[in-house]
Amino acid sequence: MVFSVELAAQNKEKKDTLTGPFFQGFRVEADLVPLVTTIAGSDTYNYEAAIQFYLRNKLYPAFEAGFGGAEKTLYSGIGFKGSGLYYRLGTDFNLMKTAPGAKTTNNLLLVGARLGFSGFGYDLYNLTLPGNYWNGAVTKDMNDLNYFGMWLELGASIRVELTKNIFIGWNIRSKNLLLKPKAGEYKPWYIPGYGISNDKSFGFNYLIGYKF
Amino acid sequence: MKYLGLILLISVFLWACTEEETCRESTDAYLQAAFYKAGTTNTFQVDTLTIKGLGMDSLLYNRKIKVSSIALPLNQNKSITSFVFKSNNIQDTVTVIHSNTEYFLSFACGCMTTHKIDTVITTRNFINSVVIKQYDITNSDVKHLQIYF
Repeated sequence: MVFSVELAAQNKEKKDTLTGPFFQGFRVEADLVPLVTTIAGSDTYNYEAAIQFYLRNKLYPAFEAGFGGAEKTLYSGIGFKGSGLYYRLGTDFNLMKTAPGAKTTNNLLLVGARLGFSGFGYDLYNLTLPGNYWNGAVTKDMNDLNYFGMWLELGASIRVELTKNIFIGWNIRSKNLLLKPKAGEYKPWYIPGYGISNDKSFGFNYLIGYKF
Repeated sequence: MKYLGLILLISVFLWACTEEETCRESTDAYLQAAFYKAGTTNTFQVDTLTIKGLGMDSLLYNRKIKVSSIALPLNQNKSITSFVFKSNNIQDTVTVIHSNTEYFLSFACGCMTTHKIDTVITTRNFINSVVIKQYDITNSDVKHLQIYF
């Protein structure tokens, strides 16, 4: 009888530490990749910040926002210039398990999904319409074109607590364009927050953040 | 684990470098026709065939021998294109009424002009008739017309 009461108390305690309060804070982060790409002189640029909420140490909803763009002359001679804001909404789940009796950790191993979108304007330069037997070739520029991109991201993240409440880590993500440009229509070469406008893209962030 | 981030970062750069590519598609759209013997499904060869655009000086086909299929460029700025067919001093004029569309292929290939056939009209000196099989003219290799002799 005494034994079973003890066991019940133990279970209750275990449950409490696992759940705790519903809202357990949030972490704000900035992407450090632009520091590298700016030095490396990339054709594209991307500045990103994120906020991630800690819900019952289980669910980690996140909101990410940024500004990205590109200015590039492609191998074919076509020029692209475009930039805009982008947003991502989604959630992560923590896979980090603490062994019974071990010191608890604030480090995170996250997997999750994001829905990203960006509406922006762009210009295409030096578009050549080849001529034939009847007509000469025509070269033209197209300015103030608009595009709305929406995509899905699946990925994994790691966050390590460097010192109290300061976190560092990375995200790696595969991206799939959900709204694809219609065949034959102009499209942007680069989509802010997504990358080069192929059906699939790949993303990497290296972030530093603070947990409140 | 410590260097995983760095490795990933390098791989992103390498991947970005290999992204650029050369065009592997044709940017030409030709009206393609196959020749048949009138009243049959047998292919037909024209002994010697000369084709030029109506009002043009340069020839598209110059006394080509044993021709059983042709590929002709359409006017990209006008919706009517006429060709003069000549064989053994007999002449026919084939007129195609069509629409033109600017089509963006890719960043590697750029743009091209595609067409859609509306009507084909022909004189009947040595050509018997023309049948439209495929209305859309793109860079894909298909026969749009059957010309019967």
